[in-house]
Amino acid sequence: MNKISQEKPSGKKVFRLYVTGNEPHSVRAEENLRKFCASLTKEFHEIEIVDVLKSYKLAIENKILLTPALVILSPEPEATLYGDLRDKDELFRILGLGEDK
Amino acid sequence: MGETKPSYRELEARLLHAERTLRAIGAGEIDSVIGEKGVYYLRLRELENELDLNRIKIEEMDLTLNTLMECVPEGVTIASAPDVNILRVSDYGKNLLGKPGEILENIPAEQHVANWDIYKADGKTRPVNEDLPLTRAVRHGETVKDEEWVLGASGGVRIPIICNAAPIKKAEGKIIGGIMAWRDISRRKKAEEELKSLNLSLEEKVRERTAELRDQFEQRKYLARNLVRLLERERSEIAMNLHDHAGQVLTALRMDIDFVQEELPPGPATEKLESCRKMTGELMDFIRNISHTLRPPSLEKLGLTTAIRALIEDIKIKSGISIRFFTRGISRLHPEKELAIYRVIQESINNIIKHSGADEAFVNLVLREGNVILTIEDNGSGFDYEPVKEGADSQKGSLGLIIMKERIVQAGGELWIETEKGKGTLIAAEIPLTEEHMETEE
Repeated sequence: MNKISQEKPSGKKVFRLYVTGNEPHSVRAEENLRKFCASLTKEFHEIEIVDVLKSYKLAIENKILLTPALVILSPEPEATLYGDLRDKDELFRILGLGEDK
Repeated sequence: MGETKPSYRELEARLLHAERTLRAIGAGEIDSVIGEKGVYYLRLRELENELDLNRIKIEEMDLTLNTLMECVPEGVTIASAPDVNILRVSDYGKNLLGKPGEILENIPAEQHVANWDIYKADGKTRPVNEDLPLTRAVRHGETVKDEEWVLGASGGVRIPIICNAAPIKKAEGKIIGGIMAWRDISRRKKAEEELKSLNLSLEEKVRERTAELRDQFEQRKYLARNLVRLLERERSEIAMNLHDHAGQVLTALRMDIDFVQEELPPGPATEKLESCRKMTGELMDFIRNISHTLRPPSLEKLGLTTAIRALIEDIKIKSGISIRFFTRGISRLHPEKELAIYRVIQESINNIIKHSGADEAFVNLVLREGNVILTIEDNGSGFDYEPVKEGADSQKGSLGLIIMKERIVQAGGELWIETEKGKGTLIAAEIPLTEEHMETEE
């Protein structure tokens, strides 16, 4: 089953990004995610990168059919975002953080 | 077991998930699709972009090709491989042949000869399809250069063309088609034909003129030869008549005078007779001289050099010109050659006396390397030889020179004249000696 830790400390933001090797959208998605996390200076966060070229079955088990895909494991409810994460506002919205201003 | 109905919240979440998924797909931000058997790369947008670019490129190339095929002032034919199906023909080509695209284009190889009405360069022989330049280029990768063919245009006109064909190859060498450029060479052919016929007529004219000149030359040679013969015969006859007839009559006259003189007593009548006797003697000498000049008996009796010496001595006395004669190595020659040399010297010296105003002349007759070399040189006024040489001045005394030349030619030799106004005249002749005629003094 899922090898990723299911422990989610409260307030902690846990991201799992499914990518396909060094494909352009996957690379951009990781960059955008890291930039986003860097803006969360006071927040504790964790990023896990899953390359489907190495473990695509994990993606299937977790019903991930497209890449790049960002699964927000914490805070709940769990949400999935597709694409290169260029829309930072949407991330803020989903995480309930409001505008990043 | 029945499925539990999803809650409103779950449905909302699924809808949101679906929306995001669609949006990401729509935005072209997806790299791959994950399936049961693996990961499938997905670059839809990039592929679309690439496709768009390619489509634009193709459109542009198509436009370029269209414009080219409309404007190029050549026949251009493009065919596909491997069937040699004709795809395009330039407008110029269609117009030249006066045939619509339906006949010339989109036809398989088997119809090329018939639809295009193709003949080999002779304009008569039908080729087989495999021989056609475009077929050879497409099927065998051959590059055809400057081959002549003939096409039948509308109205039965046959147009000679020059063809160049080449295969269209991909980088790896695969032939994907062929292209042929062809040009109407009717005008060039016509010009060539005209030039050929002009050359032929010119050659014919040259041939005719050459034959005419040869005839004239032969005629002139024949006349000159006959002239010399006639001249010698006439001279000989006159000399003979003078010697035989006039000489005999004068001898008889003198005998009669002698007889009458003896019969008559001395007195004024016998004195007159004595005067008559003397005049008869002078007349006999005069006639003998003329006879000798006309037919030099010394030539046969004494030989060439002695006869020349006698001639020169005689002329020197009569004219007062200083003439020097030098000879070496010459003995008896063929009578014809001896007479020719004697006559040339005689004629030359007469010319010197009559025309040159010279006070000095030099006659040289030697044998050198099997050739008789004769030169007659004077310090007189000379003359303009060119008109004489061209034969334009034959009315003005050049006949003597022509006869001199002909005499030497008949003796198997050559004669040159070098002269210039105010610089004297040199007449030179060279006569080769044949074995049987060589009798030289050593």
